[in-house]
Amino acid sequence: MMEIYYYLAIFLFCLGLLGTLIKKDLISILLCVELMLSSVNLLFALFSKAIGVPDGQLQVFFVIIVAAAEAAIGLSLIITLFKKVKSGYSEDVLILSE
Amino acid sequence: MGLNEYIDIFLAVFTGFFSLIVVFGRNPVVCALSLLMSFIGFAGIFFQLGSVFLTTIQVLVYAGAIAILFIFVLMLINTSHYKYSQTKKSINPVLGTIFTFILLGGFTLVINNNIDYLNVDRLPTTSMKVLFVDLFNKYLLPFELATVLILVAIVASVVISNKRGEK
Repeated sequence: MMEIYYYLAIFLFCLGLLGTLIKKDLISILLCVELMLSSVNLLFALFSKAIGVPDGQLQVFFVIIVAAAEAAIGLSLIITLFKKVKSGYSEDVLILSE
Repeated sequence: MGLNEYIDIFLAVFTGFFSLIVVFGRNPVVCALSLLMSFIGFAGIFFQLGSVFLTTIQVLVYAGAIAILFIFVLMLINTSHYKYSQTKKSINPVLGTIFTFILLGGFTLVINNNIDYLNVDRLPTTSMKVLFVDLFNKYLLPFELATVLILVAIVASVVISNKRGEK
């Protein structure tokens, strides 16, 4: 019955992608990116178990490090944008295109 | 079906339900708290897979640090003061949904075709010793680079959100 986790992982990845595409406020977009990263972690762990080598689990370790760095920088960017333009929505942030 | 199968199904439904709230919830605070619950579900799945190390890391770093960081930032910026913009020029949600469903179908097809090689039923627990011998021999350089990455991220987040840098 553990095959259900493969389907769960790909479902959650597509769910996170859908959220990244349709969500409007920046913090929710970052949350959906975290969801995608987490589902990829699950796939790494599953493949590592299926093949029988522990390298995939170490890969998860590195993915978590990168996710932590990404969350810190993304959230500080959001705070700076909120102080500057007083909005947390992606369509209000057009500083580069103007 | 034994107890383990029921736990598998329960964890999958639990994680999927809270992830659905993350994507389709309206309130960002509810979304962040659901993400926290979904991370706890992931930790349970890692435990079912027999990976104690990943369970610990998931609870400590993901649920304990990253999700709490999101909730902290949501408390810091008052979301009720969000200003709604007038122009609605974003990606068409219908197009995004269609693309996502095509991708989901493709992934399901790939997993379905290879499910015989991907058997993970009740494997023994991976010991921490095996993992860390690999980490500090085979993956020593990536590990050091990861520490540099974390240092750069700390400095960058301080510099970006520093008030004195603004004109």
